[in-house]
Amino acid sequence: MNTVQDEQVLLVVHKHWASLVLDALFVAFPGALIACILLISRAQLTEAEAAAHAILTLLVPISFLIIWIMLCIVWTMYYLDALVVTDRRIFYAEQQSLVGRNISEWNIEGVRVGVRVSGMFQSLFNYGTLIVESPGQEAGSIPGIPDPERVSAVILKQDDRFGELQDTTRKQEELLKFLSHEVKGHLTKSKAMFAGIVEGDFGPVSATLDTMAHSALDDSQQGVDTVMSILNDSNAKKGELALHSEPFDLSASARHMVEHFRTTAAVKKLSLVSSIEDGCVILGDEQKIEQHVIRNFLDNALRYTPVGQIDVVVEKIDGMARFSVSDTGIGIASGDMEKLFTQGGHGEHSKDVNPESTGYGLFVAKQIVEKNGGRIWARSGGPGTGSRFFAEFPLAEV
Amino acid sequence: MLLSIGWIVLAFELVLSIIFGFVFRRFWSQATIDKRVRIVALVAYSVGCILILAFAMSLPL
Repeated sequence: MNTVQDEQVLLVVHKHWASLVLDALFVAFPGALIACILLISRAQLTEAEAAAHAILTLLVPISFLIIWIMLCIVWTMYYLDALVVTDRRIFYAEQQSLVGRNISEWNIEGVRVGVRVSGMFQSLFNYGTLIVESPGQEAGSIPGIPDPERVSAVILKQDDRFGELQDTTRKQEELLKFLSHEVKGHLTKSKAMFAGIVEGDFGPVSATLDTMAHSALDDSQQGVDTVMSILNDSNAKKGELALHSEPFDLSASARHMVEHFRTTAAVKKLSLVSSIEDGCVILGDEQKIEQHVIRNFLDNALRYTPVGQIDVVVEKIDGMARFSVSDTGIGIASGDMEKLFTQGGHGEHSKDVNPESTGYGLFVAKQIVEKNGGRIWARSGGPGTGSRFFAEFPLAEV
Repeated sequence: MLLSIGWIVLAFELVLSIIFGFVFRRFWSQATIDKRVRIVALVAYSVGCILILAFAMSLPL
């Protein structure tokens, strides 16, 4: 039985030992009866019937051996039978013979569970049969379950939780759409304003303001694109973003983003130096890698570097295209390194430099890089020594 | 003559025990059975077979 990612196993139940005893008795009793008959028959034979006496004598240990082998098979079947309850499904693995097994599966959503405890033996040892029925699936019975009421309660409680979870997911999806719509509205208004400045609707502006307005217009457009991408591609139920992989030139994307940030770097009086090797073609989602990885690295370097230089490098190393951004900024303490790529993972003093940081940028970058078959990491000599961020992707076969 | 048949039957029991011993060992190794439980089960099976064979040898023909 295979569980899907994030599926949690809530309960693993093996059959009650009393059911093993009953099965063993069922197998051993006929065998023991045959052995007794053989021994009685043997005792009644006369000295003249020596051959028949000997054959009956020899059959007794053979019958014992066969009973012993069958008991071992019964134990194997008992040991391997198991009921597994996860947060989404119920599995029942039933060993039908020494080598044959059957695995039944029911969805937890809308499941109905019945309990049947029949006979004195089952009441005495508190075990019974669970009857499981799920919408659109065949009902099944699971015998020999210890404390069946408790197991039934766990399953039904999980069904309730599953319903609540679905309701929460639906509300989250609605909230995400609402928020995205609202943000998109504000971004669109900003975009219109900046477009007005760029197109001269407010009269002539200085060269610096014109450059900044172009940059802001680009940013607003990227923001709108990102929101649209979330609205169109997200699978909110799974919390995943869909990727559109195709070969693209990482070198060109890096150059484009370097040019995009050049003005900001100049305003902050930072030197932005790039060394980009040509033809680093990789297979991946260009828009997401550009927006969430390249842009994020550069944006962070600019935010966390008060003075000095930022170096952007794209190079081919051992069949991989490596993109890296190094800076002379605040650096990363060794204790912060572990939480760098985690959800909401902030450095100890990062909020002092960038109060608006959500701590999700590098986490999202890591998801995007890994989903595109790459890896992401960072290096720093410690606080005040700057840092270097790397993202590496397999080169596409051209 | 009877003694010969006795030895043949004993050999048959021994072969049967060994064959099933291998079958169980192989199956229990492949199935999701804990290693400690598997060793205990194999020892128990072997002890049972040895006792039955000893019982077979002790029976007067």
